Amino acid sequence: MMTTKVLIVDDEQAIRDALGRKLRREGFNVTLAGNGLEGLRAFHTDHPDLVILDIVMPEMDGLTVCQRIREVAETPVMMLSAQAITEEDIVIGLNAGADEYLVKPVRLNEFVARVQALLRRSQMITPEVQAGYNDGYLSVDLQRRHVHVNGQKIHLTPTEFKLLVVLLENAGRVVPQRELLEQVWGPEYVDDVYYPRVYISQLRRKVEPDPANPVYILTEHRVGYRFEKQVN
Amino acid sequence: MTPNVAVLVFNGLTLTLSLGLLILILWQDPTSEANRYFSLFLFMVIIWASGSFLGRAAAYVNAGPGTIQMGLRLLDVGFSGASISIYIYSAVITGVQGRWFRGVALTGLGLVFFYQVLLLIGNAPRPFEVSADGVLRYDFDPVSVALYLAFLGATVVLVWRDRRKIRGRALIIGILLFALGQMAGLLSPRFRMMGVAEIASSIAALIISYGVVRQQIMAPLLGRAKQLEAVRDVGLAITSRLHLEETLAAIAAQATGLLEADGAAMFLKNNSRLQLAAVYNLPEKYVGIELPLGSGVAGTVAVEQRGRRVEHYYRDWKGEEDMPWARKAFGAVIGAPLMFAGEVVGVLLVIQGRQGRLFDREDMHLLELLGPQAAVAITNSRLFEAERNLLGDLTTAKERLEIVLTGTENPVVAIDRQFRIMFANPAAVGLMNASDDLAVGTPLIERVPRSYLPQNAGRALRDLKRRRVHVYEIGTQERTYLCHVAELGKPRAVGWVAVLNDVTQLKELDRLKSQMVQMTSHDLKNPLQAAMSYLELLNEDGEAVFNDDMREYLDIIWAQLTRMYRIISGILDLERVQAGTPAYELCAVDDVLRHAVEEMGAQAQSKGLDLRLEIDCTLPPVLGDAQQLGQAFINLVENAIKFTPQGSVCVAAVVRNRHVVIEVRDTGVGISTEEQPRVFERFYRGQQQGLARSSCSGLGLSLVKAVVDRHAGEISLESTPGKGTTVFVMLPIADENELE
Repeated sequence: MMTTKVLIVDDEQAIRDALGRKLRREGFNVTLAGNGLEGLRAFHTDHPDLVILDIVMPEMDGLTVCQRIREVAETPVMMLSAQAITEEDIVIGLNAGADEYLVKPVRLNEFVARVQALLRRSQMITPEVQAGYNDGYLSVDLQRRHVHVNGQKIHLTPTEFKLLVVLLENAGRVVPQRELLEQVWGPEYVDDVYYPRVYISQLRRKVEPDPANPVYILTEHRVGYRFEKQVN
Repeated sequence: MTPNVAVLVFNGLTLTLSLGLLILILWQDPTSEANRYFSLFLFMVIIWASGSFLGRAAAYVNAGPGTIQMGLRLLDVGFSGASISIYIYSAVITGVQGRWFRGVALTGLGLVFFYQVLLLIGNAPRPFEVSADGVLRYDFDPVSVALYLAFLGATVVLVWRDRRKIRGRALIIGILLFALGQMAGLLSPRFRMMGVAEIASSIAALIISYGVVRQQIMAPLLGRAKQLEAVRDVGLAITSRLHLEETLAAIAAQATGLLEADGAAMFLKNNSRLQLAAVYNLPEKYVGIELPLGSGVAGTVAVEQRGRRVEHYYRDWKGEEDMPWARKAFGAVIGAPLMFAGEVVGVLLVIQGRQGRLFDREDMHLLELLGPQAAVAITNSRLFEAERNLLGDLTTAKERLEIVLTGTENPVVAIDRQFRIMFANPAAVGLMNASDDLAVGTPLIERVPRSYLPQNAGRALRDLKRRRVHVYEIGTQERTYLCHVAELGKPRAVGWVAVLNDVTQLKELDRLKSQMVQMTSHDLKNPLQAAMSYLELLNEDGEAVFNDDMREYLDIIWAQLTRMYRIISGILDLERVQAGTPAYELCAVDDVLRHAVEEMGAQAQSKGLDLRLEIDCTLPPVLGDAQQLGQAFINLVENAIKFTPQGSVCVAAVVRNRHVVIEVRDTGVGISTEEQPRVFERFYRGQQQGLARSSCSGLGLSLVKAVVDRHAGEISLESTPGKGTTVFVMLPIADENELE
C-alpha cells in the first residue's frame, strides 16, 4: 500500500517541524511548506492525501489556500490555528471548505488521531446503501461518489459527502446530533456540537432547491436532523 | 326778676339737667369707671341742687324753718358729696389715682355723710336767716368749709396740671368753672346770697355734660367716619406697598395718627420671640431688638391674645420694659395683638408720652379695628416676599439648570406621554434631523430615526416600571451613545427624559483592549504549541535514556506549559463572553446542571468527594446561552471540588421570586471574610494553604461572574472558613414574550 502523503503548511518552522516529525514517525509521507503560496504550490506538485493548514500566514492565508484547493479537489483539509476566539472563527474556517478545525495548542497524539480519523472518513465507502438515491432533482451515486443536483454534478467535501450518506441511510428517521457526530466524525467528536450545524447548512446550500426552506434535510429542533425523500 | 328767683330757676335747671344726664350716662355705659364717678358726681349735684332748691323755695314762700332746715341739710350733704366726687372724677379722668386712692376718697365721702348724719341726729340747728324779700342766707361751719375747699382746690390743681391728659376742652372748663364757682360761694357770703355757686355749677354742669356727652356719645359717632377713613387709609397704605418694612411703617404711622398718640411700635412674631420691626416717632435704632414672649406689654399681649391698656407705663407696668428707656419716656400705652388665622403674627403698641392723654375704650376699639387689617397686611407682605424669594430661587435654579443642560455635550431630550418633544438641548438638536429651530411639541419620531429608539419597546417600558430607568445603546454613523431613559414626575410619569453619553471612545478603547488581549494570547499559543510538541517528542525519544529525576523535571515543565495554556484559554474565554453576543435561547437549567455534574463526576470521584445534584421540582427555562452557562457551572463545580479536601459538593436549584436560584455548596476550606468580596476579580487567587496552586489560573470565577452578568443574573456567596462555601447564582426566569 502506498504511504499516505500529508502536506503541512505553517509559517512557524518549529511547529511544522514538530508536527512533521511526529507524522513521519507514524508512517506518513510528509511535505512541509512555510507559507500559503508555497503550500498551494506544493499541493499542486505533490497531490497530497491530506492538507494541514495554519490560518494566519504570510503571502496567502490558510482560508484562501483552502478555498483554492476546494476549487479543484476534494482533498481533506484540516485547519490548525491559534485563532479561535469564538465559534464564529471555527465556522468561518469550516465554511472555507475545511473538514476539521483544530485549535492550538494540540497534543501530538490527539493530532495524529484526528488526522487518521479524517483520512478514514474520506476513504470510507459505505457498503450498506448500494443503490444510492435519485428523485430526478437530486441523485447520489454511492459507488462513484457522485452527486448531481438538477442534472449538474456538484462537488462535496469528504465530510459533506459522509454526512449526506449517513442521513440518507437513516432517511425518514431523526438522527440525533451525538449519533451524527459519532458516525460522521468519530466517537472522539461527540461534543463538538457546532460541526453538524455548519455542515448541514453547507450541504443544504449545495443540494436544496431553496436552502432557506429545506425539503431534504430537516432540522428537528434540539434533537437532530432528518433526511426526507422526495417523490416526483 | 330778683336774684332769688334767678337762683331758683338755675337750681331747677341744674336739677333737671343733672337728672337727665344721669339717666343718659347710666344708659350709655354704666361699666366705665369714669362714667360711674361722673354719675356719682351728678347724683351729688342733684342732692345739693334739690337741697338748695328746697331751702330757697321754702324761704321764698315763707314756709316753716323745719323745711328750710331740711333743705339746708340736703344742701350740705350734696355739697360735700359733689366736692369730693368732682375730685374723684377728675382724678379718674386724668389717671392720677393710685392703688389706695379710691379707698381714701370713698372713705372721705363716707365720713362726710356720717358727719352730716350726726348733725341731723344731733338736731343741731343750722343757722340761717331769711331776708325780707325771701332770700335765704346761710353759713357753713368752718370744718365743712375747710373740707370743701381742700377737695375743690385739689381738683383745680389736678385738672390744671394734667389738662393735657383730658380729652375735650369742655370737660376742663366745666370742672374748673364748677370748682371755682363753689369756692366763690363758700368764701363769700355775698356771692352765696347771690347764688353764684348755683349759677356757676349749673353752667358748669351743663358744660361738663356737654363734654361728657360729646366725648362718650357724639365723638364715637362722629369718629366713625374718621375711623372708616383711617381704616381705608390703612388698607390703601397696605395695598400700595409691597415691602414688609414699608407696610409696617405705614401701619405704625396710621395707628399713631388715628389714636392721636405720640408714637407707635410694631412687633413681629418670629418663632418664640417678638422682634421690633418698625417704629413711628420712636428711635429707629431700637428696630431689631427682640423681646421674649410674655415679657413687656407687647409680649404679654402676644401671649394673652387680647388687647391691653396701661395708663401710666412708668407707674403701672411692673414687668420687663418693651424697649430701652420705655419706663422713662412712656405714658399711656395701648397694645393690640395682630391676629391672622387664629395665630398671633405681631403686636401693635401705640404710645403716649408722659404728658399725653390716656387711652379709653374707644381707642381700644379703634386699634382692634386696625389690628386685623395690619395682620392681613403683614401676612400678605410675608407671603409676597416669600413668593418673590421663591420665584427668584426658582428662576436662578432654572437658569442654572439650563446653563448646565445647554452647556453639556451630552444630548438631553425630554418627551411627554404622547412622545412629543418637551425639551432638547443643543447637543440633542444636533443629533436630530432638524438643524433649524427645534419645534417643541413635535413628535419625537419625526425628528429621529427609528434606530435611535429602544429596539424592544415592551422591555423598555417594563424596565422603567420596575427600575425607573432603562439603558440601551444607540449607534449613529460615526458615534455610539449609551442612552439612559428615566421617568419624569412622581408618582405618575408625565413623560420621559433621555440622557445620552457618548461612549464612542470607550467602545473603541474596549475594542482595542480586547484586540490586544486576543492578539497577545494568540501569539502566545504558537510558541506554546511548539514547546509542548517538542516536549512530547522529547518524552518519546528519551524514554530509554531518562532517569527518574529527568522524568520529573519534564513533568514539571509539562505542568507549567499546561498551566500557561489554561491561563491563556481563561483569558480568551472571558474575552469571548464579554465581547461576543450570547446565543440566547430557552435553556433548561436542569439539563445544564446535570451536564456540568456529569462532566465533573470523575474529578470528584478521584478526590473521593460526594458530588450530588438536588433538583426537587421542574425548573422553568431561562433565556441564555447554554454553552456559556454550562461552562460557568462547570467552573463553579470545579472550583468547589478544588477547594474541598473531603466531604461533598452539592448542586441544588430552586425557584424564588421569578428567578431560578442555583446553589453550589461545598464542605471545603471556605473563604475568609476579607477575601469574599474579591474572589470574582480577575486573577484573584485565594490564600489557602496546602493547595495545588499551580492548577488554578484565577480566572474561573471571573468567567462565572461575566456569564451571570451577561444573563442579567446575580451571584453571591456565603462562606465560613473551615466549614465550607455556598455560591448562589440567580437567573431570571425567561419571559416568553421577550423571545422574539
